[in-house]
Amino acid sequence: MSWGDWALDGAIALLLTGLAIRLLTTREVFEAIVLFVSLGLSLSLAWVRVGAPDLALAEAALGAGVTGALFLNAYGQLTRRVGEPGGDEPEPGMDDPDAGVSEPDEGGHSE
Amino acid sequence: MSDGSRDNRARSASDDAHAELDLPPDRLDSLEADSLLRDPGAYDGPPWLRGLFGWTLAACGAGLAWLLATSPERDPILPELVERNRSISGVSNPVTAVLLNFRSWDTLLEVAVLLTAMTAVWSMDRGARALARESGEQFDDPVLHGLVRLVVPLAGLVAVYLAWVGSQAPGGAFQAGALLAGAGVLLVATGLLRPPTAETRVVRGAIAAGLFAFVAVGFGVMPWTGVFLQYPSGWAYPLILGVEAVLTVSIAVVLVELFVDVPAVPDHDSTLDRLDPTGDPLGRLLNPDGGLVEGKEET
Amino acid sequence: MTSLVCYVLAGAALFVTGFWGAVARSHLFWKVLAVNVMSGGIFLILLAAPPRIDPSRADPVPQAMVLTGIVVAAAATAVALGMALRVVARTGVPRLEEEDRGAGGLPATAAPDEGAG
Repeated sequence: MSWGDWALDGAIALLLTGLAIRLLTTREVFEAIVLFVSLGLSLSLAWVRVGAPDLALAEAALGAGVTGALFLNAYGQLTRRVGEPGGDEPEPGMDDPDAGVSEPDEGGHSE
Repeated sequence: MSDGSRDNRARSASDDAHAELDLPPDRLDSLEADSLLRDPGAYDGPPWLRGLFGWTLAACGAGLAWLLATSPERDPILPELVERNRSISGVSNPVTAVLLNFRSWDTLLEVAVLLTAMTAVWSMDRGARALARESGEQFDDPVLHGLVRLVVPLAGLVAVYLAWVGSQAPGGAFQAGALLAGAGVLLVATGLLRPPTAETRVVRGAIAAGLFAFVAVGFGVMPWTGVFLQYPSGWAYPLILGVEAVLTVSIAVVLVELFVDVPAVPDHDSTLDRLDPTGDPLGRLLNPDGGLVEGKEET
Repeated sequence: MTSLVCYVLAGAALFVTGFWGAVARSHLFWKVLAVNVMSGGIFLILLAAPPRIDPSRADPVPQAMVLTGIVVAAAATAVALGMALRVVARTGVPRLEEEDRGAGGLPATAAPDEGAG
């Protein structure tokens, strides 16, 4: 193995470790989510180096993409509750008491 | 720094936060805002305990890493097995061969796990649609529209290609489904697509179709081979391709639905909590006369 | 010893860091993030450690396992985030009652009492 391999793999390993440590010691939720998406993309790079291109595709799409979107969605719910300017306006259906909730004998989900 | 100003505001309003539960609905300046969007660490326990735990774990991690790095070289039994049997699996990509032929049972159960996760998320949202925008109420941003117009068809094309080429090269149903889900999430998040809800039969049908197709193939081959999910010789490739095609669509719909069905967090004066403080649709179904009167729980 | 050992070490580091984060951070979002980091570390070890016949291609069986694992982790993250949001909706604080050892957020009984107002 050439020193180039070692340098590249060492750099990616350090990147992964640094991102993970920073992600779990930071105090801001948004920063943690952004770092998590970055970690997912770095992990995708690691999968390519390890010889698993299928995983690289899946990790980029799922680990960074879909999971990142899920986290940002949940974060949006938090900001909406707090009433921050960065959050959404309350959805139209929330003001109407009968919007999303059906009668009790239907169990709460309209089919 | 915005941190400092926020902390000042939080401290000055902390007394009011506990005084009244009927907080003004517009802006919440309180410790709650402080604790939701950032984690001040006051609730994490004593620092010495966290440090002790951290260093103990670091020592364990170092030991684990040393054990893994210095473990003796073993024979590559599994890769040789896969390599030997790859020609009869019907596909040439070894990962797809393992996923959809040698270990197809695991993949079937994985699709069932996806379905279970979907059911769990459905049971939590209580019918409130956090992303319920009327289609047509979109972000009026030309850059965004241009981006979506470029990315979504490309994503669809690449997804179809990935699902098909998974038998010869890196790719497959999961990657393609995830890519389609990404395109779907983009469409939903920008408001260009009405969020698909569980109430439409199409969504539920698409989600169930993946598992159904897999199980149907599993039972369908039994008259020929006698074993569940054992493909007859020569039929492996078309069956795998068919299952992958249905799985792609099913996985994409599941992932988009997981994104859309995020449980809504109501504002303080929302009527959701008043009408249903228990958040228990199954309980209300079983006990409709439980007596929900203006938020009072009388069970 | 190939350069893949870097990824084994990184995987162990990710696992340990994730474990620490899952226990030490009380905010529910961080717990979900930490478990995801842990699973990423395990996946790295699963792929970088096993013996291989072709040095540039990983063992396909762990690849299939990890592919399944990534998809299941994404779905489980959705469920966990949903539950975290439900906790926030019911109690107003993004942490469990046992870990709310500070002056923060609304009292846990905020939800049923709100109707009295």
